[in-house]
Amino acid sequence: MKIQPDSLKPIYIQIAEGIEDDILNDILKEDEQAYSQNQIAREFNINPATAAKGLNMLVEEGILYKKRGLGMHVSPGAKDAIRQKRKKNFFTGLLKELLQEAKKLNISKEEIKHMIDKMEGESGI
Amino acid sequence: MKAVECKMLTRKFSKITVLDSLTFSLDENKIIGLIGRNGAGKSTFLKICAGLIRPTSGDIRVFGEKVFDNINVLSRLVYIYDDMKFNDYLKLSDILELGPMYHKNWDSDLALRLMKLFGLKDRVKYSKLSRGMKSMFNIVVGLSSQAQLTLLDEPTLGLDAAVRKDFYRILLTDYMEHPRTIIISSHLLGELENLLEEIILIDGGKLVLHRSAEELKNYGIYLNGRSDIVAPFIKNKHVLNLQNLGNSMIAGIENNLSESELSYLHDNNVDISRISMEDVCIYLTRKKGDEEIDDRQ
Repeated sequence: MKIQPDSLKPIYIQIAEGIEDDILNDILKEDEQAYSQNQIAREFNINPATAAKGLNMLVEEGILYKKRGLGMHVSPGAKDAIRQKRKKNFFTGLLKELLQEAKKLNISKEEIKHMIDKMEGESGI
Repeated sequence: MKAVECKMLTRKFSKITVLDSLTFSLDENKIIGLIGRNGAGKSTFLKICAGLIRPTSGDIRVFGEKVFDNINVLSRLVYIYDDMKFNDYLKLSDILELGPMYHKNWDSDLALRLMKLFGLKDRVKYSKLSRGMKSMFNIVVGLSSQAQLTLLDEPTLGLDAAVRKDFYRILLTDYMEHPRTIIISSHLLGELENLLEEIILIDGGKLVLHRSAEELKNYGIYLNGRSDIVAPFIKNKHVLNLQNLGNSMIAGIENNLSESELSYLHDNNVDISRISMEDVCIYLTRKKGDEEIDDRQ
């Protein structure tokens, strides 16, 4: 997990996304313990209330759950849930932005498709 | 209960009004930033909070009680500032030994740990310390007191970047172990902003705003686009900052646009981005003369 203190993105969202990334990358596994509020606050020098806000966001979304006396844990099925959510963001956010920029630059859909194929071939994504 | 509550708090020095009708209250167990330019009234407010001086008019209560001459409250707070007066003949170790007399929660272990961490020698006299070392020692006293209300007036004055970082880490760790109300004053949010839960911005002795850090982060946005689109759009808006570059314009405004306004801007290729907390504070406390200096450059 990484946090950029200077970013304009609110810190609690950076925390939530950072934990999500760690779940997607199998650094945090389902049913295992996630980071605690105090761990996050100490590690990144941020107010513990901010850390709690990021964690609570994931609890509300069902990605983390509180185990009594044992702290935050990763929910079963969290990885799938994050993928679904990110997919949605991919369509509504990234893809939309891409198409808008393409429009500005007069790039046709065929050209974009061609670029994607070419990039896949080159970098093996 | 509120940690601090002030109503129409006013302080005058002869005819100059330094604090002007401050009204706000602060919850317990938060880290709060008191932000303002030089001469905004930060130290005067903290001194009144600490019972060192009396308000000219209005009311201030700490933990629900009057502060001035009230040992009940005074024993529960600590006030750390730039030119703390300790007896010139006392060694640092002597001052620390007196700690428990003034503060009933005094943590001697923490004091020793902090002295070691800052590399302060306890045989030295306070008057012989350098600017930065004085700040370090003040921090030792401020944190070791474990006071329920901890008032830190520009605590990082003269500290280098590495020591400042140590201080922020120590402050947070200790706060998490022993939650209490901590007010830190500074003229710049900068490095502090992620430590804080709430921010009080004052200017010319008046309260400019009191918000949670999260709200302040969302306070303002920049519109960056063609002047003929942006200029008419911001006509009836509160403009925080304005920059022109040829035919383009960057306007900083409050972040309260409707969906239709946002989509209008979007359709007209106006880029929208957030204004940092620090810049919001600078814009909100800017004096008229400041921009003229800019213009001459």
